[in-house]
Amino acid sequence: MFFHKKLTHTITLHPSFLGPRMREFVTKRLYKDVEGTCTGRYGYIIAVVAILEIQIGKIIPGLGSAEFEVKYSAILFKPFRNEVLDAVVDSVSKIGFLANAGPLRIFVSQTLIPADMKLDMNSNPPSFHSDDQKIEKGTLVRVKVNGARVDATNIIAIGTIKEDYLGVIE
Amino acid sequence: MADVEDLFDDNSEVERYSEEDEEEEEEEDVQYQKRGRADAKKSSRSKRPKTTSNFLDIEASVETDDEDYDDEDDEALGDFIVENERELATAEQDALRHRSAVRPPVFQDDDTLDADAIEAQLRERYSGYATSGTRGAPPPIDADWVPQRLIIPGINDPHLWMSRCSPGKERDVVLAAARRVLQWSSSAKYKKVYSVYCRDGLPGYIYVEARSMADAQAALEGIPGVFSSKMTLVPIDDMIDVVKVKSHMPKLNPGSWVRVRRGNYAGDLAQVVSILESSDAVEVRLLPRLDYSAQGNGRVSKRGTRPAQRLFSIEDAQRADPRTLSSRQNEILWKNDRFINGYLHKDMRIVSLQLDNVNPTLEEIAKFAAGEAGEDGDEQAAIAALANQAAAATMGGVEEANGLGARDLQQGEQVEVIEGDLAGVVGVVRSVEGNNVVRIEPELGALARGKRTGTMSFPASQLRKRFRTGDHVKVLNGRHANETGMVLDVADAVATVYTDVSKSEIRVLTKDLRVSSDIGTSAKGGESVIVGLDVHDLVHLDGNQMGIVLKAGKDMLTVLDDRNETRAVPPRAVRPARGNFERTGVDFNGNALRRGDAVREAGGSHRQGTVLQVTRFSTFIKSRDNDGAFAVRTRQVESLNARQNSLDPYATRNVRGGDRGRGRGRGGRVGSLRGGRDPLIGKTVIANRGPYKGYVGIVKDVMGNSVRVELHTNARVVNVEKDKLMVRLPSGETIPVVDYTSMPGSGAAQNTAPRKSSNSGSGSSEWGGSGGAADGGWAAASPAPSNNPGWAGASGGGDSSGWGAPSSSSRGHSDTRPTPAAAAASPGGWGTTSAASGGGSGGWDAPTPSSTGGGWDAGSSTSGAAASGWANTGNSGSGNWGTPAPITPGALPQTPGGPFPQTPGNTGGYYDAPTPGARPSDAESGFNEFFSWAKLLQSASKQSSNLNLEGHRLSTAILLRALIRVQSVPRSGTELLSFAAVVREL
Repeated sequence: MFFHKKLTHTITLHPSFLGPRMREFVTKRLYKDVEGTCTGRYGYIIAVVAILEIQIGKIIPGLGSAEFEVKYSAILFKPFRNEVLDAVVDSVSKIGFLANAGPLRIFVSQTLIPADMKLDMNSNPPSFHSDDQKIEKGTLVRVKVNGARVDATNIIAIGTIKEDYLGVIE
Repeated sequence: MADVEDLFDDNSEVERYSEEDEEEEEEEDVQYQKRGRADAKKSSRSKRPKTTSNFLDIEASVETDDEDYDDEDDEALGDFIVENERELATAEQDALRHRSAVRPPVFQDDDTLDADAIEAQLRERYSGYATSGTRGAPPPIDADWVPQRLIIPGINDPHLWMSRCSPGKERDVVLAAARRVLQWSSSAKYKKVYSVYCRDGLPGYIYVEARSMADAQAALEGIPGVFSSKMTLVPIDDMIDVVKVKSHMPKLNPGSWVRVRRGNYAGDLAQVVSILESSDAVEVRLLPRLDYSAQGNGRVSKRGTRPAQRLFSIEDAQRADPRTLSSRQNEILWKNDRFINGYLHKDMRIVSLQLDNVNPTLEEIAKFAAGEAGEDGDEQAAIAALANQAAAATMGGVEEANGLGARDLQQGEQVEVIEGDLAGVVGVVRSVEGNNVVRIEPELGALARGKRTGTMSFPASQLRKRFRTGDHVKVLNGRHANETGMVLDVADAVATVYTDVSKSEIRVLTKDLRVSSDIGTSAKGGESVIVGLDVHDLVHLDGNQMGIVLKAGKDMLTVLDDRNETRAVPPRAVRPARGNFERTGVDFNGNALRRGDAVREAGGSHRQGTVLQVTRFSTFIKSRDNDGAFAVRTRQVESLNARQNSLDPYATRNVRGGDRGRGRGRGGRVGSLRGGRDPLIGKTVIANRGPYKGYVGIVKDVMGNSVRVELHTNARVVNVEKDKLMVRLPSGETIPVVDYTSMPGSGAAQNTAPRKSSNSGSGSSEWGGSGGAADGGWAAASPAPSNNPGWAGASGGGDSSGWGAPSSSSRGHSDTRPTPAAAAASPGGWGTTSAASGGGSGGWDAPTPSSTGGGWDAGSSTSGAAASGWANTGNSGSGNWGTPAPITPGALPQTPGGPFPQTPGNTGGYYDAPTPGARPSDAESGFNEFFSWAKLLQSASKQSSNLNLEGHRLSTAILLRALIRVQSVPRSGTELLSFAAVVREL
């Protein structure tokens, strides 16, 4: 699910950056620091929408670096159990397929693929196919998230298409 | 529950006969044999002539009593073949109830009643029950399941009397009583006796269910062996216990291990092949113990030594008794025994099998599995899995090898009740008590709303751990021990898990799983793992080949070699590569390649991934697409990290300038403590911010501002910025890395005095040691900010401690851009520049070796003025003062720049480089050299503004290098131009 949320991030600038382009540095640094990162609590930070406030920097005693607390709003993406997502199949292997929903990788195991979809490793590219549908690299699928494991740096989800209205999107 | 008719079935031996011609016939034709208990065994074994009768009566059985059979084995029951008779299953009470509704009662032979009449009689007899409850009447086959609670006996139901009898006579008494009751029912002397029964496990007691005690007594009166005068009423609450059947059935599944109780195969391990429909008998397979030379039926008498377990041999059988040998499809029949793949397949009654405490040893299973050698791998794997599972159960001392033990459960785990009245209830384990009893708090959902749910106790064997798809779990025991992954699917007690590391699916018993958030590092399984080899480790293969471990199996490694071929090798065929240094390679673009770098294939299909291992020739890459690994020539790999760094405003210097600077620094720092190694390397650090917050690791390398840290948790090497790390000191204290690197002697022997405490106040006393004259210089430090308005503005207040920092922070910004302050020509400004660029290790180190003496005068002439500037920067790190002092004793009284040594002192390792302390030469000359360079630098940076070089990042290091190249400060126009050219080149 996507969220629009106000967040704060503290940026430490080396004194050599404390010049006229300081704000620019802080901004650049913020984008670099937070965009594309992933935390367990908020999920992926997709994009910084706006920088709301850059507080007055504070020199860290004994260090000389300056700390800026930046308030910004960002679009977050966090997958939830039972959430239905549209994803693009990234690869098909003999145990299932991997699909990408934005930054999130979703693994769909063969056990969670309807029984009528047969694996065909000999086709090029490898695919799962039933009589009228085919899942191969690049196919759009609708996946229900069954569970997600949250690491320090990314989220790995497993999903299912073994339910009504899931599977290949025409 | 026990009707009168049931009595007969209770006592009847029911058998299953294999039948040659009618194997495929539609429905199980069940045959009953009624018989007294005493003759039960023998009659069943009797080889009868062909008979058309489906029903054998007691008398018939008794007749066969006289026949002599040398074989007493109980388990031989099901082996012989009788034409036109069907395999017969047993009579469990519940099954019988169903049967009594659909087929003629068994006592047809005794009585002349036909089925309808008896049915009518039954209906009549039990019609009274319907009003008082559902009890007694056979439930319709498709009736909804009636909760057990609703059919417990109440006060309106018949009572139960218990009477003593001689032990061993129970069945006889019951039979006699039953006959009597039946006679009553056909005569006018009808008494309300509903059932008479005994418990096998309770010798010496007879139970009679009747309306009154008189009826009950009448039923038993005069029967030999019973003491009907002493009858006690069973309290209503205890009535259920009397008839409770201890169920063994749910534990028996195809593939599970059992032991034979009696007979020739007593104690032998057997494997359940299938459960026969009657659910009272199972088909098991055994390793045959055959004596081919023996006469008769091929089995040895009890007194003889029994033959060893050996797979069935057709040759031997052919030699011994070819007449009885026949084969059909994959089965071989010999002397009434059925053999498949050399195993003896037998139908055995469950009572003749030991189901609990089977605890098969690995040897037994290995012996058992030996016969599978010729078969396909799947089954072998299955056996291996079974062996593992059995071994795990044995090791754990779990009471029931097939079930869940209390020791497997932990407080807070979700469990499901799978047996008993409350089957299906889900709950959370609250406590685990001794005796395998587990207290759980049931989750009753809406039912429990507003109510406080208490806890309930269950034997652990009635519980099963419950997992949902998506749960992250860890395998506790067995072949996959320590692996972690996400549950994909749960089918009964087996869960399919998608592993984190190997990205494969494994099937694990749920009892071996536990919800866990940690991530396993490898497929290490318990004790069967090859010591010292982990997945993705680099190994030497035969010859000069190297490879990485893809899978560390029990006694086989799957290795990917540098020709991109996967092979399975035994562990002894590989040699682990030395791992105490970090291997690096040079990529397509000449950039350094290390483990963990993001890379792309330079040619071919441009596959992307992260570097798992690097050797000089090959790089092993973990594919980004499918998490598989592949090998590529190192020269054909393109590092993406290098490109990313170039986009990073902070890191531009790190890769090139930083590295080179460090390289030169080594040369200059001859006398430094560690031969140029960054003091941080090898230290244990903790990330206190950023995505790796909380992670602990060891520093592998320092590259400018970022540190390569090998995480303790999963041996990954990650890049972390220095300012996000804390160093853990031997004392257990942690200090920020930036502080640590600024400590002289790398803080190893140092009393960790953070720089904060070393402000001017405390510093003065240390100053005393260097001479009173210096005090003036020190005092001058305080107003430092006023000298440097630019800085003061930028640093928001410019407090003195802040000033100290830039000079000491060794962040590796060696080519800090010239700040406005640097451009200021004041001596104070100069001090600032040096302070700002102090961290530039390369910058400072570089000039030293090639410094000329020419700058002496310039240096000395400015030294006085510079002193105050130096003092500015020097006011920090007074704790270090003691260190440089002895090295430069001569310098102190001579130059007003006395405080000078303090500054480099701050920067730990840097101190040694520019000061003459490292050299045997005269300290003064060293100073002046230094100042001359300082002067040069100052003017160079001034000049640079005239050079139209603003577009370039002019770092102190570059300026210095350029100065070294041109050997003098550019003053004339041509000099300037050549200087500019040099700078651009750099």
